[in-house]
Amino acid sequence: MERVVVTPEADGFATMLADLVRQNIETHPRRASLLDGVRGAVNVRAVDAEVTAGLVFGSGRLTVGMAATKPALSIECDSTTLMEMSGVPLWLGRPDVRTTQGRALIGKILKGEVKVRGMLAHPRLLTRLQKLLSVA
Amino acid sequence: MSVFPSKEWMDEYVELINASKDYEEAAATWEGDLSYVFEAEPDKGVPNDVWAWIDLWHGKCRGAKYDVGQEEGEKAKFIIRAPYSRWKEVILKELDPLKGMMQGKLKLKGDLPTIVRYVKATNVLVDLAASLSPQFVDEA
Repeated sequence: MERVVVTPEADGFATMLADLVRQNIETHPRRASLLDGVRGAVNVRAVDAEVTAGLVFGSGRLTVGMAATKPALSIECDSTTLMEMSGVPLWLGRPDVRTTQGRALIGKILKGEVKVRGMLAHPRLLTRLQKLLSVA
Repeated sequence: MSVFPSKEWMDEYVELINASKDYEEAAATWEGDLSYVFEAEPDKGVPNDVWAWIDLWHGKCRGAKYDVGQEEGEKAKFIIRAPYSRWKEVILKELDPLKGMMQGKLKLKGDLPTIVRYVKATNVLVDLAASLSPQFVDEA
């Protein structure tokens, strides 16, 4: 079974995120299990590039395509920050505040430069997404 | 002033890369060659695709070839391709390359996690290209 699926209408951004997850799983095969036992949609928006991708978890796979209409989680920030987020070391599935990058990201969240909606209601989904996108 | 795209432009670009402390620092652990593909736009003076290959290693450019064949260019670890006029926008800093990739205006082939780890180095490479202020072939 293909674990990461790109929908036919996916744009460059959605394809890029799907490639990132797919290549991460190829490098770290254990991360494939992060797709199991989780369900829900996440929208990721790069505000300055005016692009949004929808990532839908379900049935042991991740489907990446257009924005979801009712996402459980949504993340918004500029394109550079979005890519930098992938490089932030994680600790217990969260940005590691013991690192410069982790503190910088938390600072951006507190300043509203990174907007994460639904993180309190769907912490598990957020953790899975962060681990799947992490290149740290 | 060199014309973009041309071998002269590329030689100047490589010189700038090797003189850049910012690039040396941002790409200190980078290992991998890269092909830029300037896709043909005959009406703008680029009749054929141009493959420019650079070998980047630990913050330096240790080799470069302009107008290599596609077969050779495709062996690079990373390939970034776009029509000539998109590259012109990048060099003029009208288009951020990361944004361009997200919008599908520039196509990347290669290991994306590696590129993501080196976002700063990528930005420095673009800044260096922009600093050359070349004459563009469609304006020459």
